Amino acid sequence: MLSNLVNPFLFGAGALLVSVPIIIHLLNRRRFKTVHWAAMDFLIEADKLNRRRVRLEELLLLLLRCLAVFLIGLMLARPFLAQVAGLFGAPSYDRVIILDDSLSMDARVDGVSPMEKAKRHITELVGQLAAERTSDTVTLRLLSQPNKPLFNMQPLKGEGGSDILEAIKSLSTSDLPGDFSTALLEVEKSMADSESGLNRMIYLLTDQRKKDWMSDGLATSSGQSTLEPLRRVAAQAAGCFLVDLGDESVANLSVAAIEPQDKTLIAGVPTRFDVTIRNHGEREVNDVKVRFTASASLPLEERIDSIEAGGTNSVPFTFVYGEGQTGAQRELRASVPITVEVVAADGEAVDVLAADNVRYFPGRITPGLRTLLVDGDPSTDYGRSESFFLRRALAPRGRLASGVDVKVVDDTAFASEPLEEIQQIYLCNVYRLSEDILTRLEKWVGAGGGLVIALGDQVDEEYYNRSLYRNGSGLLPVRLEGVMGDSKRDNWTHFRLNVANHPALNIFEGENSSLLEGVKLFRWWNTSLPEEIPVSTRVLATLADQDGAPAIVESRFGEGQVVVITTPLDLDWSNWPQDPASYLIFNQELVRHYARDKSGQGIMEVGSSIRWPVNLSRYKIDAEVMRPDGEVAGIQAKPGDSSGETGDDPEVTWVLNYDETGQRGIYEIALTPNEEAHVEKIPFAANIQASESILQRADNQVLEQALDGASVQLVRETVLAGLEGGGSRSEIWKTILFLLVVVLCAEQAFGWWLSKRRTV
Amino acid sequence: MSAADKPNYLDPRVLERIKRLDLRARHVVEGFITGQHKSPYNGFAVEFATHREYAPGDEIKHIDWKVWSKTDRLYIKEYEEETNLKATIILDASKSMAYGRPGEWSKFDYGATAAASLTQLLQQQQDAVGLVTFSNKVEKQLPASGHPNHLKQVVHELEETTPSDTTDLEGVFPRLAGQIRQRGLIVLISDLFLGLDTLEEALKRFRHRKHEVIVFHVMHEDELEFAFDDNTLFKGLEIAAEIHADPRALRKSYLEVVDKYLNQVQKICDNLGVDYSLMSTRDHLDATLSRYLAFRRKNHSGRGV
Repeated sequence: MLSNLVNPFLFGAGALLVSVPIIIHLLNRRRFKTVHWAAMDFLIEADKLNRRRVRLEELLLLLLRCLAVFLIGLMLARPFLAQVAGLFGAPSYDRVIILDDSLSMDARVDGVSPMEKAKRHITELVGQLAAERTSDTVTLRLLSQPNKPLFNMQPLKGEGGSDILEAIKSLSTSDLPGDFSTALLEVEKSMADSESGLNRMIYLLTDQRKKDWMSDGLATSSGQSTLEPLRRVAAQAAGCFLVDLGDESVANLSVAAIEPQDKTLIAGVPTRFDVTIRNHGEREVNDVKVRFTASASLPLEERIDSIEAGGTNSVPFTFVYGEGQTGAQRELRASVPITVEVVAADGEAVDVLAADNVRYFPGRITPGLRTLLVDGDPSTDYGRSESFFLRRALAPRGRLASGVDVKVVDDTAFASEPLEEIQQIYLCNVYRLSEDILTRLEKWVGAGGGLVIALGDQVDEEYYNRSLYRNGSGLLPVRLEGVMGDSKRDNWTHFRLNVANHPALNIFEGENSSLLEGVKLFRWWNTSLPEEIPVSTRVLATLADQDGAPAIVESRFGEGQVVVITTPLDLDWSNWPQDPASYLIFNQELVRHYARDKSGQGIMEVGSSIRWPVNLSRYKIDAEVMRPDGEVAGIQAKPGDSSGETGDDPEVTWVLNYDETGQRGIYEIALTPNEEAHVEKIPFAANIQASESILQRADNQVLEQALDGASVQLVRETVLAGLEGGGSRSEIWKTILFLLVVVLCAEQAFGWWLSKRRTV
Repeated sequence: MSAADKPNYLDPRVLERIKRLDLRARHVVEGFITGQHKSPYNGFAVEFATHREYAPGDEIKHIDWKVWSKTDRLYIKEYEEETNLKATIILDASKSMAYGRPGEWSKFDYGATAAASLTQLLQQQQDAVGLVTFSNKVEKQLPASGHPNHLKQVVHELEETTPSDTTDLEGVFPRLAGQIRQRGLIVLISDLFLGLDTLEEALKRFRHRKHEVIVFHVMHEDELEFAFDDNTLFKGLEIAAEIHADPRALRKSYLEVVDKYLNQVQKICDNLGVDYSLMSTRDHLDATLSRYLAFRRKNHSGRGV
């Protein structure tokens, strides 16, 4: 009852005032005069006759007066009825609780997190409702799973209430980002679906972080998308409350990034990781410890002296997989989960949110950069094949790994080669490409692959110009214009570096320039650049004596890059392979620079799905997923759609899909090859959304302004059961006023009638 | 009332009261007479003379020495004064008669004034008037006399009488009849707060002795109208009872009860041939007396007062 009042205190006062007429009556009885009366017999008889009727009349009068005072109190208390309630029937509500269970709700200030507060408040509310309003129902939605309510209109009768209380106890924050707008849209939908006239009281429990409510200011679309549904839901509900449980402290440290400096992690090859720590707080943080743990190896620890307010600081870690093992012992392919943790010496004072202090990195150990050499002039004779030297330069034999994993195919095999895993492709003196492989190649380069085209005597000028150059829009950045040079090898020219500070070629600058200049180039393809040279096209090296004819040209194609070398990479037209220093270094640098970057593969946000194409000719259809919590889930590959990422690879049409990635940490897909017993593991790291670390709060005033006119009440944390709606409830003070007038008139009329009857 | 409380006869206040009662009575009667055009007593004859036993205070000259010589008893021979009528005024001095508003006439005052007035009235007509006051017993008895001084005596008696504490009318009232042997006019001035049976019995006895009976029923205006407004605690004057009530609520029933009672009294009186007149203390005495006498003349043409 009290919950249906705007001013419950006034109602209490009114209830007390009801006793006033009674007190007046009693006081009146105390105030009397005494008469010594002679005709007592008459009086006694009259009293006998009268007593019952008078008592009744007086009682009635007293009741009317009490009722009048009660109504005055009630009217001042401004009671209201929710939408459907009968005139005096207490309405029953569906209490829709939307709990923000995003990670920021774990931000601990003074030892209490908003999540704990929220749980306490919900427990209180449900407990109170279960005790007092068993006709109510409770709907509990978590922001992390907005379309799957934890309880949907759960009745509080019987076990219902205790079930909810039990569930609340075990609630904890979710790694998934909160999504208010979806939750609100779902509530709106369920409102539209369910029977009309059901009263709803909506409680949004949130720490009111800016990211959830508005991005910058209010004009952003994301800000609107939360506020608009809220507006609509509030308009339909009996009451809508935005309960702010958050704290103003934004002090927070997070591991912002783990960036390997190599494009792939190779067993035995040291890899440098730059770990970036961000300080989201408003003051400088000193003495931060960063711990880097890779798989089962001992953790590495570094210290950062200070990070300025709002700034970042990076610390490098160097990690070698399989260090100390010999090449034979090393697994060439492996999954190395890497965990980086940040610990601030000042603890909660500078870092209220512990959940974002850990970041994961899916370390995929590969034998090396996957490089495919397409040999246009294969030969079984020693030293004769087009790729003979190149292959040895990229992956020299010996105990130390070069970090390049080379595979040689001829141009016919190339047509059926899967490109998915390939990072770098050399087209060595290839005659022509089939239509199909050209399309796939363009797609592959466009997606980030690195392509080196080494020209040679096999090259079909007409085809290259038509299909590869395509007037500057194809893969080839230059137009071929015939072979030049001295076929008798009497005259030669050499490379001249045309750019400075190029990451792949800067090693040949300065005193090292002689390395390249020592190479004798006897023949070469004459080429010309298009009239309008694209910005991304650069001539890296020219031929020294030929008026600057291009020798090495670099061009961007989509995400990837294409390098054209106008001479072949064998001994046919030059003596380059005989100059091991420049040849080996050049190609190694070329691969490292241009190869497709695969190091970031497998980094994802929690909640996004894991997709992994499976080549069923190599792996079994059933696979397993090792979850961060240690659970193992079995999955099965399903036919993938050909237009997707597997479209460039005709053999890979089956895909493993896993969606249950709501928990942060390392997920590993275990693939079982058809032939070997050895299981291959592919790691994925699900990290929390970076925005969760930003604890800036939505400004109350701005929010209020934005919600102006909507029947949403913004409240600081308070007793939820005391909150009652202000929206579509209907106040009944007018009715009460009418009743009051009626009662007062009745009282007057009755009093007048009594006195009239008595004076007769 | 104890002897110590008895008003001193010489007390100036008592004297004043006497004077006032005297004056009051005279005033009432004069007012009444001046209003009369024709005396109702004309042609009225007293037909008998009798002896009566000597009572202290009787004049010795009235003793019938002849009777004394024959019987050795003292009898008063009444022949000169008792020409007209012997009237006895019986005044109720029970406690209930003491009711009245402070500073105003009580019922007893009103009744006493009425008695004095009647006495004067009757004496002016040479009638003999006696006075009996009673409460639970006969308090005072003055034999009827037509002597001019008798009025003063009556007034004095009235003055000296105050309503008694005791209230047992039931016992004494019927016995009064036996004590008044002289046949004549009996004027009963009382609030008649007694059982109707008792009243009827007593009146029957008076009538049985051939008395002409007039009942002046004295009621206070409060008792008749019950015009109280405030919460009141009514304490019984004669009986130990209390009623705490809102008088306005009780009024109607009370008036009904009183009305019923008055009707019954009236009915009893009518049945026994007793003249009945209700006197409210609110009304002026002369008006009341005048109204009554006018009524009497109409109904008893040529008979009695």
